[in-house]
Amino acid sequence: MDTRSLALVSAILIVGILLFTPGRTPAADDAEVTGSVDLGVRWVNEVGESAKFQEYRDLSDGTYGSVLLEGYKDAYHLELFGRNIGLDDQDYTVQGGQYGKFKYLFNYDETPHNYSFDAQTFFSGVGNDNLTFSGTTPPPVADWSSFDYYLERKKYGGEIEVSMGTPFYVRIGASRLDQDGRKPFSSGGFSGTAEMPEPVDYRTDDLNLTAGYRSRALNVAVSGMLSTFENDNLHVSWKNPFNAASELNTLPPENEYKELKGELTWKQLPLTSVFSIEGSYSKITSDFSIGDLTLTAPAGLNSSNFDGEVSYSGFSTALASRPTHNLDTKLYYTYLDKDNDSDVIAYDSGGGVIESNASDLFSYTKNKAGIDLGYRLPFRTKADIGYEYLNMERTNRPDAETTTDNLGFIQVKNSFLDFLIAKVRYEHLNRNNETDFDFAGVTNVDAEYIERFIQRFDVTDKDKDEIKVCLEVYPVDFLDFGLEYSYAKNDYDDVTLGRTEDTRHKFYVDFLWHQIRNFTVSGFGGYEKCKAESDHYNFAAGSGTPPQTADPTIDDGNPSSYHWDQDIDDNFWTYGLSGQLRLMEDVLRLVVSWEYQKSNGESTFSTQGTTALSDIEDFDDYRKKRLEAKAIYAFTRQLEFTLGYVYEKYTYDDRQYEGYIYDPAGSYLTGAYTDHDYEASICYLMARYDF
Amino acid sequence: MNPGLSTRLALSVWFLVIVLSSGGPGLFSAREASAVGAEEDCGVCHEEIVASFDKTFHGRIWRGTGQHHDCQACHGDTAEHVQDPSTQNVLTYSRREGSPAHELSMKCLDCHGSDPERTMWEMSLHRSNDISCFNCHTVHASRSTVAQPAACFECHRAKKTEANKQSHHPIIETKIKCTDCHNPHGTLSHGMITADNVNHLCYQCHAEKRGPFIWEHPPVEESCVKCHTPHGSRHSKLLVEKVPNLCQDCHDWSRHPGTPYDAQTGFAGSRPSNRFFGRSCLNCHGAIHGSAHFENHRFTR
Repeated sequence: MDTRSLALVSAILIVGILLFTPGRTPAADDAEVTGSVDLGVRWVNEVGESAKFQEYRDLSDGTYGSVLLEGYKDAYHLELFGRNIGLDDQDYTVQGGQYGKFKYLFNYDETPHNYSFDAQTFFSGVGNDNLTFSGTTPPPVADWSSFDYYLERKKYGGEIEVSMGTPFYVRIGASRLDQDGRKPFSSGGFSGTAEMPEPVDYRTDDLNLTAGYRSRALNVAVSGMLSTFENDNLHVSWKNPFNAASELNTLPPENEYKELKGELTWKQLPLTSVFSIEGSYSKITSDFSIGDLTLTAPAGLNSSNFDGEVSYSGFSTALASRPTHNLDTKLYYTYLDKDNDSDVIAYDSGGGVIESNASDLFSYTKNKAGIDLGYRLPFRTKADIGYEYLNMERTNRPDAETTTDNLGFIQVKNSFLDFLIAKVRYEHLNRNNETDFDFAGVTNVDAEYIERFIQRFDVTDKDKDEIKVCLEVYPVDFLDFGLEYSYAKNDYDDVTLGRTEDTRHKFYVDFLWHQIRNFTVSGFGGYEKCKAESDHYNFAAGSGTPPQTADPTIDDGNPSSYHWDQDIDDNFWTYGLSGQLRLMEDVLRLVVSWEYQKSNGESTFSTQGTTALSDIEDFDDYRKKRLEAKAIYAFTRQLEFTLGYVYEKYTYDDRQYEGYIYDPAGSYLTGAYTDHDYEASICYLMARYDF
Repeated sequence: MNPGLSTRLALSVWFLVIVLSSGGPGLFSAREASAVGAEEDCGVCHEEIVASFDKTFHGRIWRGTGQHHDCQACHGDTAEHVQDPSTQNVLTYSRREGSPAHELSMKCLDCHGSDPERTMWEMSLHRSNDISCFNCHTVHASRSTVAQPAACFECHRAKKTEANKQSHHPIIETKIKCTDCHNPHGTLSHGMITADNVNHLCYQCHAEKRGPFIWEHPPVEESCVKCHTPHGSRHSKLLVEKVPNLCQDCHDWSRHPGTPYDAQTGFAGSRPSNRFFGRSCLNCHGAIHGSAHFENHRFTR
């Protein structure tokens, strides 16, 4: 008997023991116990051996099953749930308690994340922090060895809340998350780049404690959290395949997170108001030395230790009222301050030039305030209007020292007709960005001169318009129909270099039709179209004759510096249909479903350079199909059998992966993310017993 | 990748111990007869609902705790309804001909309003959009759970579409629930997320991204959603745009950041470039979320 079957049998035995132990038989009016046991067997035939097929799931051949057990006795309740027992994606939950007195929850969850199977490398030591090879140059690809990129995630923990029938409660929870595996990472420089497996061996421990008071008029709570992150590999050493030099990359540093939070909600106030306020303070710290990372100290290093400390202070409040039967109001304010108080590291990068992270430690302060008003008009119409102000002040962001957002919206919703709910919403956002560059001494043959012409899409001036329309229609008892359309346009004002505009159309529709007693059909469809335009400038500041400049607004006379722009057009379609036919009432059902997705992207260029640019046709293109057909036969009211078949196919085309070579010029790759395509058939037979 | 036999056995033992030591002894001992009876008046017309109410989640709780609530507890005064069986003279939990959403929600909050998870209902986007408790919860169901993500996807069609795209968090695999990140009953945070800000929410599972790093990347430290769309994307790694274009939208600098990468820079092109093929910019800049290296290598070390 394999381990999976053993686990399945164990779980079923436990349920059996609980149900049929003498003196605890449900039939003896001992307690009310319900639940179900699912036990199945499946055969999987996959062409492609793709990690994408099993990205977050374990679909291996053999047995599988789940167990649910619920029990109720007086004020006690208990629920046990186990799923995919014995598989790599198994999870278990136990929860219960006594109503009004205490409750608890314990869980264990395994989630795989498969990135790529059968990757190739010349490095030895895969999975460790020392990747090397013999000799001075890597062997030919034919001699490389294979390995998998994957992550195993196991989380277990629990939470107990005790109130003992009083308004006061205490909640304590703890959890541990272990992550183990390898994920692709790359490093390199102007000599070339090497892709390799990064060892992952993380552990995150969380501890939460909350104490509070609750009543219909007042809720108060104070909570604290402590979280530690441990990484068994603080660095990875690797032998550079281009020069045989020993290199070292740092990996995520260990850290500690602490949070203290207080919150209060006061209800039953005048004008039917509810007032909430909460404040929090959290701090993330990480301390490590250059010795911990086994790094060689650069010349002039000011400190061999780094004490990292980032703190967040947050405050939020809101007042929601209903001064009249028809009017809803909400006022809110949020403050968030990030303070990076980490050590400044400085060293001599050569020739007495001091390199420092002083300008790479970022802090910000965010202030947000808003008001929402909703008014109920005749004919079951509700009109909402709102305004929000957001101001962000950043340090070390001369390109976005201050941004100010003004957001307004208006929304109308009507449900006057019994068969129709309609909603229309319009939203406008204006963002204003203030920069604070210091260009003293910088001329247009210096690379950094370009900064005054770059406007980054996440912070630059822009106007955004968004319209959304939703319809929910129930024209007759046997038909539900939903439709949703949204349009959004970002217009980035005054952009010289960067994204200049993007637009999005999204259209969705779904329905459920059950006119005939024994037949139900449902469907879903969606179409998304996103377009983005951007302007760019290619140059090498100061080089050539005449010298290339970092000023895209002038013609520097050197053909090597030139403008180019790019238009990206992404299209996405999806639809699904599902039908259920009851062949024999309460005995035999047939269910067939079909899902389809198609993603089609395109990138087009225009250039003022001397080399023509070729458009990219295969731009994250993919197709995904899924068919499932199953027959469900109820042998008795408690015992049910399902015989099913699933077909899945996924194909991916992208210019960055077409004609993939493991050792192209200037690179050594491993094949990460190349095993997208798969075609799989799954047959399964499952029995379900309800008790 | 299968865990060892010892892990399986330990799990089984753990399972058994929890069951027998917690609710078990109390649960499986003798019990009193049901304290809640069917309402005779309502049962005349709604026989099936009244007869099965004892098996519902609410019915079990009230019976178990010795509370007695009749149909009027949720449906309001039914005297007029008994005389005139219209949906307009009682609280009706239905999309068609149902009572106003806020009236239904207030009725539920009569009992559930003090629960810390629901204390900010009045602040929630669901409430302001006239979504009521029954839109997600089935009051007469035998279990109290809401089927996630299906229940959420009924209204959030864009999120349903995103979650089904090729790059996604394991939401449709039901390994992540909507309520792991959002509190549908309301919070003071944007998008009703369960943390003060987006980064703190992401850090709950991705603690390795917390830093603090010696070298920070500005958009990363400010908001994860500047580069990632959390529900799903047609681009790998849940990115909002494909690399290198996402990077080039901000990095238009001397030499390679400002170089156009077209179809000819792929493996099969006439000008293959390791700044485009494969993982593109990430072929060198592997520490893009922050670097702990003492020397500035532009996130390559």
